[in-house]
Amino acid sequence: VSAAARRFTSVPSGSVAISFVVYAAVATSFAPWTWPMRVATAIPIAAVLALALGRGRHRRQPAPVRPVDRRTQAVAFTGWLVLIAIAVSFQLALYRSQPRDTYPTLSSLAAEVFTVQPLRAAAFALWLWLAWYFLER
Amino acid sequence: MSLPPHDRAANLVLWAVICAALAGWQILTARRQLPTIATVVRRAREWWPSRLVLLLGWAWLGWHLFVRTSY
Repeated sequence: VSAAARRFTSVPSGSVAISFVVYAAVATSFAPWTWPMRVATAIPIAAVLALALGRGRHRRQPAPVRPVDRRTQAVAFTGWLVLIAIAVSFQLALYRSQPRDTYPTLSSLAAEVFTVQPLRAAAFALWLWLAWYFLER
Repeated sequence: MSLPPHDRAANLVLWAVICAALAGWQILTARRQLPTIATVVRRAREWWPSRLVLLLGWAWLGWHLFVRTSY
């Protein structure tokens, strides 16, 4: 495997992981709804989308297929789709209902957790890693 | 029972059930060498439109959670 091909892996190198954590700590020192927070969030979004668009429509290498039959795989995939659909439907049903305290959405629950600054920073670092994972070659 | 129930505790329990179901399915599929959530995401990344949807969803999530969520 060439060095270029190994440029992105699911687990970033130590220096990349540290830069994620430092950036997350700095970014989350800003309060929501402020321009510094908007800019701190927009920078990785712009970088990731630019990198993704720069790669164009190149088809990735197909994911390795495990030695199980197609029907079993289809059942597993369907299970995921059903569970994700249930979660999204429940989120939307709560989002359309008021008051928020009685109908807690994921973001309202996150807002309660984010009162703790290190947890907000950890969530931001996790969000950065997620982009790394999505862009993995 | 109406959905969603008009009760915070009941809604929190339903969230816990959904999370447990997702975690349980992940454990089950991983143990049986079936497609896990990582496999589903890997498949989505193989095709550029679904990869773009993933990245746009990621961008929306970050903006929503860190910029637009007050605490």
